[in-house]
Amino acid sequence: MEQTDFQKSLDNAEAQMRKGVLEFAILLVIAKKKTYANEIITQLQDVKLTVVEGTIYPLLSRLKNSGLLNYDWEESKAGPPRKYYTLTEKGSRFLAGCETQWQSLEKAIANLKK
Amino acid sequence: MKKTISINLSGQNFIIEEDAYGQLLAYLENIKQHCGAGADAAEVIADIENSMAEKLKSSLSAYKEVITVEDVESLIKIMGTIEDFNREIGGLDNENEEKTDQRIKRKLYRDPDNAVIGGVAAGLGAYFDIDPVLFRVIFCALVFAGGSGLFIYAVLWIAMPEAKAAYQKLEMRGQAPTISAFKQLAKTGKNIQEGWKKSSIWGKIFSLPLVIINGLFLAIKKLWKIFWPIIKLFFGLFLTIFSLIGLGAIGVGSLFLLLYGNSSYQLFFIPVSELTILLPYCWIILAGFLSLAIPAILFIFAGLGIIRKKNMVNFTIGAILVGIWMIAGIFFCALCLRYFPELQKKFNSNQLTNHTEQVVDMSGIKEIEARGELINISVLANQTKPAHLSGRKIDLDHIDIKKDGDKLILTEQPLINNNEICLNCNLQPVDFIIATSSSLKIKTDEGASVFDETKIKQNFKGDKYESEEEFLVE
Repeated sequence: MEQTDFQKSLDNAEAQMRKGVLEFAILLVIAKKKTYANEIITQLQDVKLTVVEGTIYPLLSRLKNSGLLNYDWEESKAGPPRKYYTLTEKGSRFLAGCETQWQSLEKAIANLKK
Repeated sequence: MKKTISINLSGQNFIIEEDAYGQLLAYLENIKQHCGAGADAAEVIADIENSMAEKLKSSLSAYKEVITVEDVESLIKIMGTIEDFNREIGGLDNENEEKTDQRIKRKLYRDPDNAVIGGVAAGLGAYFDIDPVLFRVIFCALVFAGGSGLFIYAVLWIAMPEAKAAYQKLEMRGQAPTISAFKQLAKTGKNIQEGWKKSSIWGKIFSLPLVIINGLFLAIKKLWKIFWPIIKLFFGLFLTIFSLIGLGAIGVGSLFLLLYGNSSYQLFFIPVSELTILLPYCWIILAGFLSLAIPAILFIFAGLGIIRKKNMVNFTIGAILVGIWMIAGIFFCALCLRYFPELQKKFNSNQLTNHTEQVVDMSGIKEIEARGELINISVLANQTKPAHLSGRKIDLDHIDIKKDGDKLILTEQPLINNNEICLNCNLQPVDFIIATSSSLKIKTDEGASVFDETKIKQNFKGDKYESEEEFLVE
């Protein structure tokens, strides 16, 4: 019983942390090259930032509505056309800001670990 | 085998199994609730649907055309459930509490889970949100008051579809197809017997009659399921065999009539060729053949269809055949009505079959001898006419009259058809009518008969007067 409670709170902490960095991670993937939802998911799963695919759409929509992302429709052989996302100028600045914050966070944690 | 539904997902057409459809519908409904309303939500849902369509498309191939439950399950695993959504990104800005008791418009289905007989009353109860007992009581009352209840029940049974898939059961109760609604549905009993076991003592006593009726009905259904295919098979076999025989007979008959229309055959002593001149012969045979053969063909296919459990005639062909049949039938009837009077005239004017009388000279005759079963001798009390033979001309022609001193000998001659074949050409009995004035000795032989009105008032069959027995008229 205690074990499961422990596991639960650990899971919860992990989820909280992941939730915090998910937008950052998505922006990083898109910054590298123009891409669409499925590819973003694959890349996130490759680095063990496991997410179910459904979660990415609300996030992409939110980022797009805040003016950080843009998208173009592109035809796909496999089915309906896909939305290919790119970073806007505002998005690039936001990403730079995120990176600075990430570094300071990292530093803070590292300092605390000393 | 499963029923499939055609759906449009993000502009792509999919054929999906009914239960898989229910699952997909519930999943999308949940996501919609999770995302809430508004333009943002609509966009997210469109994106998700788009991605699902792409994945579903990739799971199909030339050998797999239908989306199955497994496809939908693995898709949901990839896309993630609402719980995953909440854990990973939290709720959206909009309200995201899951409403379990969301209502949609109810649809009328038969309810198999609460069915006593066909689930009609249970379905009506679910539709109107009233205890089905009310409807059961109404049906029972109507059955005992004239039996209209049976009829109404049967009509409703046929008219109302059964709620088979889970989403249909939710539709029946007006529940939105949410995950929680599906979970709740899975917990409920699958039939009335199960529900009865779980209910309280009073509930058990109260619903005991229903459970007994249900049990009886289930037993009948089981028996029916066993015997119905056998009955059907036999019926199909009989239908096919008899229709085949019928079709053969119709075909041979028509061909015969067609080929022998100009031959020397006779019908009622009238040469067939004389009849065919009167009629549009070929047309009547064609119309007659079609109006008999088409039903036979349809029956054969129906029989085969029953045996093979497969519809053997497609709708278009069937409709065309029925159309031809109706036209041919109308045509045939019209021709028959049109030409019947002429045929009748022809038969009536036939010299051979007209009724005639032939006077027989009886002077000096003391004794009559009749040979052959077609000869009837009638001795009548108030006969004013001289002694005569009465009957059709053809029959009179076949009676040989011979005088041998004071003896008159009537002998029946056999009918001889030379090279012709005559249909329905039988000789009929001939009456030899004599008055009682003279005293005669009558002898009958070989089945000839005598009727003496003056003496016995009874018709003696010829065999009663077996050879040589004498009959005296005073």
